[in-house]
Amino acid sequence: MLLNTMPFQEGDSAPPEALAHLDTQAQHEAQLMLMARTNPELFAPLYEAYFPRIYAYCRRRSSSEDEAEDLVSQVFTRALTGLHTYRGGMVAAWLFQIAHNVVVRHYQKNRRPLVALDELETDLPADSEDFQEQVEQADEGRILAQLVAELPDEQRDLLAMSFDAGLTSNEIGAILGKNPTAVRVQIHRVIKGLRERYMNIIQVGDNRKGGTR
Amino acid sequence: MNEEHQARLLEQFIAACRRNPDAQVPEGLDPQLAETVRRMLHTSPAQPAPDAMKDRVWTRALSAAKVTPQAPYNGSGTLDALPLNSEPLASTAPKVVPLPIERQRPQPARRTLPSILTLAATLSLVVIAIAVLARFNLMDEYGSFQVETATPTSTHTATPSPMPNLSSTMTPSLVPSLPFTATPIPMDGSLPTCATATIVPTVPPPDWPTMTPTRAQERPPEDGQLILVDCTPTPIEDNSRGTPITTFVPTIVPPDTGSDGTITSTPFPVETFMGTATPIPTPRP
Repeated sequence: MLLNTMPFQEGDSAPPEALAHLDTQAQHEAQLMLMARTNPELFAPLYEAYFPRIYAYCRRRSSSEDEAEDLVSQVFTRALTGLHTYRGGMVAAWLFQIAHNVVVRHYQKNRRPLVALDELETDLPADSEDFQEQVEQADEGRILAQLVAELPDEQRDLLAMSFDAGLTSNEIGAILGKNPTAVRVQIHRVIKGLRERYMNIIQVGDNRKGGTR
Repeated sequence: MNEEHQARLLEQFIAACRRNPDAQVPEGLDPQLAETVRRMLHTSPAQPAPDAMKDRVWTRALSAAKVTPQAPYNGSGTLDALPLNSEPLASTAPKVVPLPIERQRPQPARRTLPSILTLAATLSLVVIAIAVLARFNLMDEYGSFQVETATPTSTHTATPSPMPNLSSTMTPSLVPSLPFTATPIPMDGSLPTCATATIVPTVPPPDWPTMTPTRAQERPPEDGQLILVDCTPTPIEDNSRGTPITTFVPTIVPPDTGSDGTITSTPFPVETFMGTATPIPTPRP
């Protein structure tokens, strides 16, 4: 599947000829988008298809289920009221472009990190003694969640798009306006960095266990 | 190149793990990275949204879309270019019952009070303009404007003239700087022939601090014109000292002259203006 060279933006006036490059599924979604302009109810199949992924992305970037619902509601409200801004191309990229903007604006408005707090039982720095004591009892997932929460916002956004929304590098690149290869390499580096930090923490925990025995 | 290859394998593995948690690690991918990915996906899976929330969000968004006017589809060839036999999204059939669209009949635009006033004012201006045009016969019987062609009959050349000083503040000048001549006239009224002598009015004493003229000269005498000078002592109040002083205030009055230029009458005795006089100094401010 060919990707549009120009990333889609909200309100973009890109010509709809890009539909010719899409596969059958994407073309059908684009057809629904165009028909939904005159009847928003025709957007229902797209809503069914994309709601879980949009919600998963928003849920990962929010701190509670209520906050995630508010974000998802904003995303689809803006999508349905802005159907005329769709000019063709991947519907996934268009929808997640809206979702990304909603999350970023929500983050800027609230001025606090969007961390899934229910996944974090501690906010201690990684090198504190209490945190190392927790390492001995916590499972690996909680450590990884802590490490992900400490990542910069842009890197957490990448992981949410890739892991939770299931977007490909091509789609993420179209949303963020970046080269897909650069996106792919950036995700690889983020995960590699997480792995190194995770191994360091495990190593510290093992050394502490050995020292106390 | 190796990093790009690893990044591509990692992306494939992430997609495979999302579909199958036990997906096999692609050959060539760093096992530690694969383990990290599997742990991230398995330990914190994406949480599904409740169905009630899904319905609420859809209802909310659809209601907002119904109250927001959408730009009409411009009928570009995109729909025609799409394959019409494409498979419908059977797996994504809508479970949400959409709300019926309440179509409202288009209502004519209501005229508000400001718009009515504006319309009335515009109509009034048009009527007044037509009345003015008709009053000055600028329109013929059919309502068209009459245009007359003016033909110049003569050509004149404009000559610029100096503009008068129209300043509202005027400073009277009591003493003319022009030398003037006076002809003595005897008391009996006879007009002896005598030579014209140039006299200069003398106004003693020289230190008049606050001299105020009693009468200003209405118009300066012309060069060579016969004038009469009244040098009658006139008491003037000294404003600085508060005591009246007596001084001479020469009053220059052009005498009445006949057609031959001789003086026919004088407003005061001839002896009054015998002697010399000097111009009155300008009062101190």
